[in-house]
Amino acid sequence: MPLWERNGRGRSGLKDFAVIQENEVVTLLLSLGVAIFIAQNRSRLASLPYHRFVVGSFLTLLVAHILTILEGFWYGEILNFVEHICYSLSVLQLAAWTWLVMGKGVRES
Amino acid sequence: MNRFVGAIDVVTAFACITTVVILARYWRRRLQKDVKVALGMLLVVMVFHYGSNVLEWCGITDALDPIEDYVEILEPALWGGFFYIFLRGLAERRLRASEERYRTLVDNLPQKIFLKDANSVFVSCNKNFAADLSIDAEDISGKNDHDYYPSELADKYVADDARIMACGRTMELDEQNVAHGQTHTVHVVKTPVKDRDGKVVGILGIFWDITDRKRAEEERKSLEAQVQHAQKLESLGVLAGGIAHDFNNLLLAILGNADLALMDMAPEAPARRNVGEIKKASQRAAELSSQMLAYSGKGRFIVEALDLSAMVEEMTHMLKVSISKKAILKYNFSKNLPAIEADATQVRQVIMNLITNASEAIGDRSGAISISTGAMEADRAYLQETYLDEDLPEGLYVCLEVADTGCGMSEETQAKLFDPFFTTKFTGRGLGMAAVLGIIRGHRGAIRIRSKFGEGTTITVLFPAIRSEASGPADEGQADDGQVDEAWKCSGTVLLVDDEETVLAIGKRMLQRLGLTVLIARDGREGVDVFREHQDEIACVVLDMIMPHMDGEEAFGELRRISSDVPVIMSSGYDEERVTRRFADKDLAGFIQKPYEFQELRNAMRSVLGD
Ligand SMILES: Nc1ncnc2c1ncn2[C@@H]1O[C@H](COP(=O)(O)OP(=O)(O)OP(=O)(O)O)[C@@H](O)[C@H]1O
Ligand SMILES: [Mg+2]
Repeated sequence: MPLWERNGRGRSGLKDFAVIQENEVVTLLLSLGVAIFIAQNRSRLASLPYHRFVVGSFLTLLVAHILTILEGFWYGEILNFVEHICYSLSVLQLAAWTWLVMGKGVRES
Repeated sequence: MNRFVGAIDVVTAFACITTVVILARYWRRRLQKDVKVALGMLLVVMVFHYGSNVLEWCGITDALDPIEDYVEILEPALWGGFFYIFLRGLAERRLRASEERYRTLVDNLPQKIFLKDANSVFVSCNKNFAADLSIDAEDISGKNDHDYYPSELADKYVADDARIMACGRTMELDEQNVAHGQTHTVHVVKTPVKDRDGKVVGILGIFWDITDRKRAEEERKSLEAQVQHAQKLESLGVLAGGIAHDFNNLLLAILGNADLALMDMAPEAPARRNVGEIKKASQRAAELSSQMLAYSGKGRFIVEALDLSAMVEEMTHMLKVSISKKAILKYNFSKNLPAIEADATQVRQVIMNLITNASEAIGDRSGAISISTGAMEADRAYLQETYLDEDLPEGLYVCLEVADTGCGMSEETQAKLFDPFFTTKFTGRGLGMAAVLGIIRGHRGAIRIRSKFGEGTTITVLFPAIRSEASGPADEGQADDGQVDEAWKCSGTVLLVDDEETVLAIGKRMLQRLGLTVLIARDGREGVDVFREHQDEIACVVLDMIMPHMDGEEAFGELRRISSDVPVIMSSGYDEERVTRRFADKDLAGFIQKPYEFQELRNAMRSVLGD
């Protein structure tokens, strides 16, 4: 059986087999790279407006990416659920940040 | 559980779309454009990602699934890009802010600042400097000094730069600079700019205007020089006066002894000629010391009302013989001049000195000297042009003008003309004009010089006029020096008071020769004592003006207290006009100026004691 099984998913993204998908690994590696970049520049990022939201949004996404890999091995269903919650939180934080930085305090004229 | 996952995905997708709407709605606001673009791309990918999840969950299609796997990979990459762009923008903003701060700092300094590269080509400058050159600060880069300054100045600047870059040390210079077409003096500090390896890569200059400070400094210096000069002249005056005073006493001894010796000698004695020479030399020395006295302003004794025209006319014969044969004398006298109050001897001295100089200026060439007299109303402007403007009052002045067609004077000579001992002549003593100055100052007059090198000189001397019409030359026929009675003698006792041993000795012998009995005293106090003792015998007192313990004036007062009618002859080589004027009010029997000769003493005694 090949290690990389691309079509191993059923509906709702839950994997049918305990496999590691190639694209998920690449995504995780890229995310880790970005995380390292953030760690290196954290003091400068701290001067961004509402930086907690935007950095938090990314870190939540990172957690989701890690969970994607892990769910192939253990507690597939639960981890998958948590993963999707992470996606959601990540997007909500990003939405909040965008609103705070751009939309807040604007009065229609 | 999976049902929930689907619901969560719906929320996620919805949040995604909301974010896109927010971004689109407020696109124009706040964030930098590239940040917004990066965020937009990220959101597009997310919408695709979660949108396809929702579609799949709803059972609409799962055709997007394989593409979604790849699109998902883009997500962290876009996040990375987003953060990167954000940080870069931040760094840029910070740089700009710090640049702005430095600009503000540099542009608001009152000094002018520039930066040049190693070839002395401008790199940048501050606003102040650009304003000086009437350009915008940005336009300076790539230009050099020759684009803005006259070429000698630019050459100097470039040479200075090269020198400073070669030695690698900061230097400070005072130099000329042109701003808005006007030349200023500036103080410049130039510092070589070095790179990390210590290699000189340019030069940083900062300079500021010091024209006003320099001017003030120069004014102070010239004022100091003037004060110093004045002090020098003053001390020279004191020195000259002091020397002349002592000289006069010595000369009196020489002249008197020579006179006495001549009288005692047989007419055919071989030494007669030598003694005559001694007498002549000491007369010249007396002249010299009278010049010094005049300069020191202490030689004015007898003040009387004089007619200047008449005085010069009287002198014509003497003037003719004292000038060079080639020079023609022209006279131009004004009649009915107002009288002046002056010492005749000194006025003569002024005229002689001026004429001698004029004649010497003409030298061996032929030329003319014209002497004119006149009266004028001198106003402030005219007096300001004169050499002695010590707040002289405006008003009527009698003037004497001596003009020659001689060699004239350069500016430097004119500047030093009145300095004692300044001369351009081989045998000159440099006292002539100094004496003139002293005399004019003593008479509260003024001198005006007009001279051009090579063309001639005109010197005008002004004496304040006496306003009253009834004045005229006083005691016209009094001194008939021409016909001296060699044989005149008299008898009686005379008291001679003087602190100088030599004067006492020679005076005593002269008076004895006149047939008088002489009592002597060495200072005023002793004089008064002797007079009190011999009050009845003494027919006349000869009193020196300056003596220790009790001076002439005090002694005179004492004598008058003892006897109100004893005739007193004052003798001095040195005193102030003020004092003599005070004596003039009292009944002074006569005045005899040191160094006196036998004849003068005899004349004085004769006028007092009568025939
Ligand atoms: N009429 C003049 N024309 C040209 N130069 C003159 C004239 N009067 C004075 N000077 C210049 O001014 C200098 C000073 O004159 P001053 O009479 O004081 O001294 P002196 O003539 O040199 O010497 P002294 O008069 O004592 O014999 C002269 O040496 C001469 O250079
Ligand atoms: Mg002279």
